[in-house]
Amino acid sequence: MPTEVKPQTEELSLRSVSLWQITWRRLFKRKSALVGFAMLGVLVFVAIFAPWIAPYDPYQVLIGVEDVQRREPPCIHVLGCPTDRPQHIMGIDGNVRDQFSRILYGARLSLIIGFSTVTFAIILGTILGAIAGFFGGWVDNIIMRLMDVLLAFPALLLAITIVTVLGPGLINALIAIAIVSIPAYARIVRASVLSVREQDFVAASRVLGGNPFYLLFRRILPNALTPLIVQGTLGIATAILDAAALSFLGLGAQPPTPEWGSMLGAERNQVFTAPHLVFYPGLAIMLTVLAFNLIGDGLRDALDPRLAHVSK
Amino acid sequence: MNGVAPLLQVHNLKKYFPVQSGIIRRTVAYVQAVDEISFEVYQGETLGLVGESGCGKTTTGRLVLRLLEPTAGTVFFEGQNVFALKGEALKSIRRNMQMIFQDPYSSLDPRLPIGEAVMEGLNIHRIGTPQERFEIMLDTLAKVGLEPYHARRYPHEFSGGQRQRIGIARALALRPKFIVCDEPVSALDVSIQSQVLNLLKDLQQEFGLTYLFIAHNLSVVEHISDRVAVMYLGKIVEVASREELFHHPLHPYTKALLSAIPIPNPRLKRERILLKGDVPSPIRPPSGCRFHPRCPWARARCSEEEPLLREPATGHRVACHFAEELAH
Repeated sequence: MPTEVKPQTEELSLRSVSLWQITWRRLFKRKSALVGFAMLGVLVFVAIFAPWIAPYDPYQVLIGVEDVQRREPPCIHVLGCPTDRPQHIMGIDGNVRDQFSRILYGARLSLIIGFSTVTFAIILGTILGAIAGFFGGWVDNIIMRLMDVLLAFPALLLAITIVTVLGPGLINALIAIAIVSIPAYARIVRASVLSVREQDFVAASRVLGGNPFYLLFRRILPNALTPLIVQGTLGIATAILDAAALSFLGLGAQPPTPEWGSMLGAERNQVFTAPHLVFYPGLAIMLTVLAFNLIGDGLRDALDPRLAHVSK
Repeated sequence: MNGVAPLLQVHNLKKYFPVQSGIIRRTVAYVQAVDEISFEVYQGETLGLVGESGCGKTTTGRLVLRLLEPTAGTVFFEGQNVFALKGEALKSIRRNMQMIFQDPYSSLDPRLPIGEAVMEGLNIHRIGTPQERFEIMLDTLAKVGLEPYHARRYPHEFSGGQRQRIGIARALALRPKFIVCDEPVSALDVSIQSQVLNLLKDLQQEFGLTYLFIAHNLSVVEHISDRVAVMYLGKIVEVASREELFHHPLHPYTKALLSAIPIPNPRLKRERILLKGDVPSPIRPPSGCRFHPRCPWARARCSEEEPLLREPATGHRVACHFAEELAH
């Protein structure tokens, strides 16, 4: 029987569409999400190819190498800067380094920060939330009260406290940001596990003989994680912003690391004398956060089940 | 059918759901969803379980499969107490007891192609090789009238009737002996209902299946059942063979239900028994006979003494003090 059946299966299955495919299609119909993806694409490209794009080493102090001053304003040849001057399209920073190269390398760091903290927070948050929602009772109570305690503090304040305890540094800042964002994910996963748990297909799996772990990881979680995608994308933006804030305060990335927040913090007193040194890192942070927010909003709309039958 | 050991024996089954209130979630009352019911289902038959919404039919079905833990009582399946089993023993008994759900939309995992869904039970129980499971799946799909190429499609690509047939295939893939059908056709169009009912009947013949068929539609129950049990407010009020129940109902509630079946003949006059009021709350059920506040024949004794399920005629059990008097 399979011999005569299989070719047919393959041929006709081409028309079958999974829920993910529908989501993708809907996502690409939204202009704002596309803009977000384009911006993220540029960011990822820059982050990966920073060593080839950057005209200078981001750590290299240019004293004695070129004839440049501290905090020199941008010099762009096509915009009328004398061609005998070295070109620095975002100017020179307070330690006589090329600002443009540092911004490019900063993209690397920011993306790593965003993805690593959110991944860490999502994994822990999902496990905690899933256990709380699935098993309920006192387990649920203990986990969720713990999460409530974390949520009771303002996120950044708590992160500052954690970094102060652990000691300043990029890794500690990442840990702090991840811990602070766990409760949001745990709550989301718990809520959606609670609703999926009651669906008939879970009962069906139980009747078929599935044990609790099978039910939780194979049936419930795959159907409960959609809201997490949106929250995770928006969470990357928050994480980047928080990391920049911690670095700005001197608690995150330490000089000379080319991190946007710390670059901003280092030159904050020169806002009026050398505005380019705070303008470009600030702009970079803003655009990155905007990109993730646009994608997150687009995903939220694309995954919205209420729109499931509109505009396939 | 007497003398044969029943496939499923339910004895004094009871399920009370606690009602909690206040900050400390104190239990203030109990919803008496199923209250001490007993019945049995014999090999190869279909027992119809009817009653209006909220009378505990679905709870009964779920208790039998141990999707819910009972407050008290036992369910014996092939001589084994379902509620005493754990781990592997429970898993292996589940191979033989399956369920078909009411809502064909929420009973299929939206992220699982339906072939996978039908194979799920085979995978859980590790039956045969993957190739054999695949063949069983295709074979089962064919049995319920679906094509092999459907296997890779997702639930949202199917209609309600097709989904219900997928649900049937999923239950059938393990080749169980006993299936609880929890209102399998009430969510479907009338035109599809008979199709699914006939499919269930055909499969019963082919595989020697035993059904506990839960429904609120009496015509559906009449079509498919061999015996019928009528539930009212958590109690079984009458059990009889289909012919007995539909032609000589003894319990006033059954009579009222039967008189409510529409007859497609406008000239035919008949006596309608109209029940007054609503079903009382299962949190505080009436004293004595639970039906007495709505019963047109209620007497003083009905509100004082609870009628037991007794057997005035062979194979016909009823819980009414005055069943014999009302028989005429």
